[in-house]
Amino acid sequence: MGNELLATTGLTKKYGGLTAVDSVDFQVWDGEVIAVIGPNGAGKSTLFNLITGVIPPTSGQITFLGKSLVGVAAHTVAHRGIARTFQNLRLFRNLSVLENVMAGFHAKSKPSLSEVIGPSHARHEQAWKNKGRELLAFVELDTSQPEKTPARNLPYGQQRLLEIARALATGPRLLLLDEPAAGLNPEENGKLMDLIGRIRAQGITVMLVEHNVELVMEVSERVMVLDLGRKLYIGTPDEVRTNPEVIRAYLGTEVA
Amino acid sequence: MLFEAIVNGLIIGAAYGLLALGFTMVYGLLGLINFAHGDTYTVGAVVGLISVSRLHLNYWLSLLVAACACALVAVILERVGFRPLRKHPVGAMITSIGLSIVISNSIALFWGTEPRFFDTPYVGATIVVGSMGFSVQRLIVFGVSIVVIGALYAFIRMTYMGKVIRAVSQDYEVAGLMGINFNNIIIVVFAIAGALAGMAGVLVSPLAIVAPYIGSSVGLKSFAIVVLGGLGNIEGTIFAAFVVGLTESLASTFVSSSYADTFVFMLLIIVLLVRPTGIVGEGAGNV
Amino acid sequence: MSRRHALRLLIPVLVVSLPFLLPNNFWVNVLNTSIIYMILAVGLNIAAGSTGLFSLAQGAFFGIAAYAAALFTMRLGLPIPVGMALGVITATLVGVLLAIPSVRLRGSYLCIATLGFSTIVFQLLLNLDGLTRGPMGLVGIPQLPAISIAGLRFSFINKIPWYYILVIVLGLLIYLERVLANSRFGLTLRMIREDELAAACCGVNTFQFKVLAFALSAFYAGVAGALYGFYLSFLTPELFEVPESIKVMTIIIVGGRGNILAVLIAALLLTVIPESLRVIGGGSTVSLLLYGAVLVAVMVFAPEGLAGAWERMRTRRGASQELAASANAGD
Repeated sequence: MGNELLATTGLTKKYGGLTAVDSVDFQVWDGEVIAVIGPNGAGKSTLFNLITGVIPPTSGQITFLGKSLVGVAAHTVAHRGIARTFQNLRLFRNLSVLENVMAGFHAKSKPSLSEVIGPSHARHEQAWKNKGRELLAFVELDTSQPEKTPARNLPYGQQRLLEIARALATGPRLLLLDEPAAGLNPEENGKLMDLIGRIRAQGITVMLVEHNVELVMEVSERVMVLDLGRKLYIGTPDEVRTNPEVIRAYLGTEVA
Repeated sequence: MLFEAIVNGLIIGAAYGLLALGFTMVYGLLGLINFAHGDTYTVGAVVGLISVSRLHLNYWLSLLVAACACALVAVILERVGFRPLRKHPVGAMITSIGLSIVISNSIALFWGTEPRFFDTPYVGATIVVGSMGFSVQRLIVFGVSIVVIGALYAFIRMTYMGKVIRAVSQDYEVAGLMGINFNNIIIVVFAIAGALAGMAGVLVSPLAIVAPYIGSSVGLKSFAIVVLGGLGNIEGTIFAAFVVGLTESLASTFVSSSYADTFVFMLLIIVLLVRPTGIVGEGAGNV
Repeated sequence: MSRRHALRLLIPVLVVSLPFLLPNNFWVNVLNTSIIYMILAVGLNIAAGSTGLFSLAQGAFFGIAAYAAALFTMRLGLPIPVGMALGVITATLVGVLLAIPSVRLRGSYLCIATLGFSTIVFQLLLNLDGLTRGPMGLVGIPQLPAISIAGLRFSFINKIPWYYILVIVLGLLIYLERVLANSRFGLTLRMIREDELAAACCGVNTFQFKVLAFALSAFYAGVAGALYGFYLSFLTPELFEVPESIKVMTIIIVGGRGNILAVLIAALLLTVIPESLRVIGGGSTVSLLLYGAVLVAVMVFAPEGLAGAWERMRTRRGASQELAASANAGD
């Protein structure tokens, strides 16, 4: 803790007349778990898309490990060590569960031709499959035939876990989780909280967007509140819970 | 020569506008690129010719008959070919390629492939302005096209139905909220598109020929126009129609008529490249 | 001998003896043509089936390679294999050039751009008659020299020796395609097809892979084209009009993208049936009409193609077998 991993200064995204993200400054410290909350339309997912290079900022700066992320393509951002999940789940639905996890390995490898064709390919294949199974075990995704089951056949809660496994396969320093608890039942919620704890114990920094307030308060060390694209407040969960501006922004929505 | 080329360009541009507008409205509503649209033009030309030469209707009546027939054809195509694929615009586009082939080759099979001439009382008549003569048919093409385009524009911008169409083109879900049956809107738009295409067929083919495959070249040009003008953008399409008409006319007069099509497509490809379209790009995020 | 072993023996025997089982040269020609379409389709499958790039340019690459191979051989007096190789290289290079701007386009736009490209290529083949002799066609393309194997002399004027060349080429190209599909490269292409954004966020440079997939498709079309001119001994632009690209796309869709065996079967059916209709006296109109109708029918009723229908039958049969087994086993 204490090292700056990610920082934004004056980060802004405008779509024509609409400002989705408005001059946001914040830092993410190495090893922490930080949550981003805010009413709908606050700009949370847009923030993720800006960080991961999916959309370009209108103005402002993003630095990760000291290097600028502005103008960097999404796949390069992944190589540099930022991984993410998606609010609406973007699995490779017709690929197998194991293939979905192995997909993440792209970020950490330079495919030489021998890895693609030839006898050593078989060896690499086996190594990847083993690593893939380990990751599935890590996220506690229990399914009988991960090599054969297409991802679309998994129940919803397991699909969410699979997306996290895929993101972890990229070997990230920073993991962005976009509404990981959406649609989960209380038991799955609890397991998610444990999983976030385990991920953090591995030394991976976690930043999550979430509506589920209980999860946020339980799991995060710091919380940033966005409203209408602007950073309203950043602080510990308790500070956020009692901040009058935050309460006003949610307008009657229970924060505590 | 230049003046004549420009005038002809504007005339043909107006007719292309008729064709392209229907196309762009369908795209705006469904995200569907309908390759069979050009063949609706062919159907219009054939129906028009048959109405005049076999049924001995007058030209203006045949225009109406063709418009109605093509509106019906378009609605049938939608029901049969596109509705099952409404969630998959690319798949629907491929289906439209198949439908295009079926229509043009059915016409070839049952009607014959030789080009026929669509004679109207106006093709031969000329009006002389200054030192130039213009075929009355050309003036009719321009006049009717402009009037219909104007009427359509007014319809879209000023009537309730037009507003509904625009709202639904922006956002599917609006239809449900407004208590409007989405399918009915689609039928109306397809009918309009079909009618416009049929009219364009009856207007333009007397200046050229009627044959099973005339729709393909014209149809591809209407794609070019719609892409140039911005898919779904009504004003842009009208403007682009004239641009393409002029390009074709000028290229045909000053370069070579056989390369006219090539020029239009090169224009299309250049525009496609310059547009900052991408898959991993804008609009991918949810706020 | 188990059924699978019997099949494994039967299929190569069938493949080797097939041309002799056909009644006359016309049908050998149909068979050879269907193999050409198989090559085109297997190639397109890499871009369209595996990667999701709906390219309507396959016919154009086919034509570019055919004309290039023939012209390099005839005008520059190069040996035929060299001419063929240059034809393939030309088509592949053009493929790369077209791919670079085109793969950035969203699905429908890519289709239109490749369609526009095919139209331009056809127009060029038609109008650059100083080079291609335009609609009169390129005639007198040299025949492959006769070869002697084991004391027997095979002349390529007869279409049967051509069959073996084509089958060998097809076999090699299918092998290549399978190796690629089962490798990490193939997995990457399928990732891109499933969800390009997610693939990018996994670290995949989707642009590079899409260009590569596209170029591979052009390469396959190039091989087909390089052989075709010498096979026919003449070339005309009408052979490579836009409907050609549509035919190859139809084959992929009817077969069901991604499934090679289904694609091969679809290529065979969609070549043999129209040709049979032509014999009965339909002409190319009927053949095209058939293509269009099949395309529409498959898209509307069975968008997964033959492969999908087969899968559905298999799961149903498997399920009913399980049901029967459990019914027999107990109560």
